[in-house]
This record gives sequence, C-alpha cells and structure tokens, in this order.
Amino acid sequence: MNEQELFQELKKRILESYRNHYPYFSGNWKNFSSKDIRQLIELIETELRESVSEKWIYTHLKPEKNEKLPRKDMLDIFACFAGFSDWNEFSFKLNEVESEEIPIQKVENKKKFNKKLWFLVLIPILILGIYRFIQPKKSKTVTLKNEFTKKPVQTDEIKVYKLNENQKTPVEVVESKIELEDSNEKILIESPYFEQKEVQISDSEEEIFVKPEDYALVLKTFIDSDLSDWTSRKEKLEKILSEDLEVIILLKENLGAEYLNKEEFAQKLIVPTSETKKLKILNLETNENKEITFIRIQQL
Amino acid sequence: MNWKKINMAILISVSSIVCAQNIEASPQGIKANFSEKSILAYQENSQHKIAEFYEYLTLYSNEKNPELRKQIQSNILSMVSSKEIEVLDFTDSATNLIDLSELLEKIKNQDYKFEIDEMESSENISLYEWENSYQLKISKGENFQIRSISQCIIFEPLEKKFGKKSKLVWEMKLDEMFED
Repeated sequence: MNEQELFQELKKRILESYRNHYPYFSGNWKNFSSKDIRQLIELIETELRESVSEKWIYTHLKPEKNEKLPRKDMLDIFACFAGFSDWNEFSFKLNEVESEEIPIQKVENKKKFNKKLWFLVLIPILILGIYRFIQPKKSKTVTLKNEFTKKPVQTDEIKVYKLNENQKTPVEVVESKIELEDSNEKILIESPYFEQKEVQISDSEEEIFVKPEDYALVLKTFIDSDLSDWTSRKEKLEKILSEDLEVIILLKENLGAEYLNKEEFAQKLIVPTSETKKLKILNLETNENKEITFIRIQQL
Repeated sequence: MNWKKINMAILISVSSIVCAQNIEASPQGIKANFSEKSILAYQENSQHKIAEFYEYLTLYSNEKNPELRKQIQSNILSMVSSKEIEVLDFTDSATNLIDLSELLEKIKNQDYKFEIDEMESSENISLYEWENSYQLKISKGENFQIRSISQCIIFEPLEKKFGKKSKLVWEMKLDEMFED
C-alpha cells in the first residue's frame, strides 16, 4: 500500500471509530455533516487532548480523493483516534497484513511460470547480488541548506527520515549534515520552518536546499528577538495573524496546555521575555487569505 | 389560587433538583479535572508566569518610550485577574497593599529591577486556586530590599473568545499578593 492508499484506509477507520461513539451515524465522508465535524473535533479534544480545526477536516477528510498527504503530526492524531499509537504503527500494521496476503497470489502465479524462465531471471540477480556484496558500500555525506540564505540549516530545526517501502527510519542530523550508507537512497525532510521535501539522493548530490515556510520563520525570528523594532513586529503580526487565531502552548511532557487568542499571542511576541524564548513552534495552519489561524507550540 | 401556589411550589422544587443534578454531573475544581502530574505541570507554568510578570515590571519601570510602556502595561494587565488586584507597594519598605494600577504609576520611570528566587507552589489546592511563595529582590540603583511574598494563582474554566469562535478553556491568572 502506498501512502495515499494508507491515508484512504485511515479515513475509513476514523469513520468506524466515530461510529463507535455515534452509532446512529451510518454515512460516509461525503455526507459527514458540520454537526458530525464538531462532534469529531470534540471527541479528539476529550479523548486525545489534541486540537483539530474544522478547516483541516474539510480540506483533508471530506474530499473523496486527496492529492497531498497531510502533515505527519495530524496523521499521528487520527491514527491514535483509529486505535493505533501513531501513523507509523498504522502504516506498518496495514502493510504487514497486506504482505501476508501476497504469498498466496505468488503461489498461484508460480504454477504458470516456466521453470526455465526462472533460471534466466535468477542468474543475473545472483550475479548482481554478488557484485553488490563484493563492492564496498558507498557512504555519502549531504549538507542541508536554506534555499534562500544558502546557509546550512540549524540541526534542531529539521528532521530527516530514510524512506524504504513505506517505512520511515530517522536519520541523525549532525551539524546540518546527514550520513547515508547508500548513495541512492530516498529521504524525507520535515520541519516546522521549512517545506516538506522528498529527495531521491543521486551520486552527485552533496547539498539539499530546503525552502523556508515563511510564516513559521517570521514567528521564530520574533520569538528570538529583543525589544527593538517592536512597532514593525506589531504591524506585521496584525497582518499575518487571523482574528480567529487559536494558539495552543503545550506544557512540558504534554501534561497540559495553555490557549491564547490573537491579542494575547501578539502581546507575547511584541514584548518578548526570557519565557517567550522557551517556545518552539511545532506547526501552523493558514486560511485562504494567507492568515495564520492555528499555531501549536511546545514549551521547552 | 391554592392550586396555583401548589403548582409553583412543585415547579420550584423540581427545577432545584434538576439544577442540583447538573452541578453534580460536571466534575468541579482543579483536582477533579486534572491528574496530579498535570497539576504539577500547571503549577510550574504558574511559576514561569510570575517570572514573566516581574520581567515586564522591570521593563515597564525602565522604559522611557511612552508608547512602548503602554504596550508593556497592557501585557502586565493581561496576566492578572483584575487591574485592581492588591499588590505590595514595592516602593515602600513597610507592608502596604495598593492597587496594581497604582503601583504601576509609582514605579514608572523609576528604574526598578525585580528579581525572584526560591519560588514554590503550595501543595494545598483549593477548588480553583493555589498559592505560590517566593523571595523578591527589589533594586533601585545600589539599594535593594528582599521581601517574602505569597501570591494567589487562579486556574479556572472559562469561555474564551478566539475571534468569532469561543471555546471553554482552563485559564490561569495571577491574583492578589501578601507579605509572609
């Protein structure tokens, strides 16, 4: 199952979990009403202490087809809602089930297959295998850089995963660099400050450029700033923050949360203190007017 | 007439029973809504808030730009339960309680510096509040005084506005203080 198929399966499981709480609901995502959406949001808040916006559900769950996979943290929340620990467990378990079904098909196909043909296929594979075994593995170092500034990104701002048959394996980032065992690996770069990027590493690849998510970087700059330029910060915040903004600050170990509205959050960034500098943006959402409507922050 | 009175009496007693059930149905107070670990996390957060409150007071007292001072003042007032809460008069060594707005007027342009130390939260938690106690060093130039202060923290559910939407959230505010 590829990621899109997995997400479609997750959508089915979300509806099943929803039905466990509201047994009278017998429809599908197409007729999932605004009342159902509100009830789903409430369920997620009470059961998982997580917050999901109405807009997110309209964008990612209501449509029959999805062009883009949602952010990983949202997939984690809904995988939890469907009874799994996170998206990784969900993908792993579903692919496990699928791979158990594959051998049956293979046995049926085998009968039809000509034994001589097997021989012809096996020999080149064997030769290739021996060749690869003898060949020393090429390890490769790749530097991750900001596409705009051309400077290396900060190590704690970015997460890198090796992608292998729908499995995501974390790759350690040291001084903005990653070390890969194979020079032809596919990697996924995730960060609240940069756009998500999937790269098939080639032999010549020594640098990867990631494009900044403008708003997240602007807010980060504001968090780290001092009192100077407070008026320009105030003006900029007035423009980029939606009137309906909801900010959730997760306390240490996610043991609680603080909720701020636009005025309170803007105040914090206009006059930053040493407490403001302990905030780390996890993710944000924007509306069709390119205003920020939701920010999730971790208190360090 | 008598029937009217009897009907009214029945109506009042039925509605009082219904009201009582509603109150019992939703758990009340901090302890009924949060685990021990969560309460500790919120108490730690309240200590950060007090630290931030005094950082703002220092900025306010030292800021010469009236516009920025006004902005800092609005940050300070957004942290407390009311701008009329009683706080210690830090400009006087005697234990006098004054309104927060009065204190702000007294420390304006006076270059006071406030530093806190040895902060802890009480184990005793009331329905919607607890106390934080701490040592406060108040300096002006080379002179300083250290005061032992206890301050109430209010933590209660309230309907909060997020633009056009509103949502029931637990909100934390700093409340009145007194000298130990």
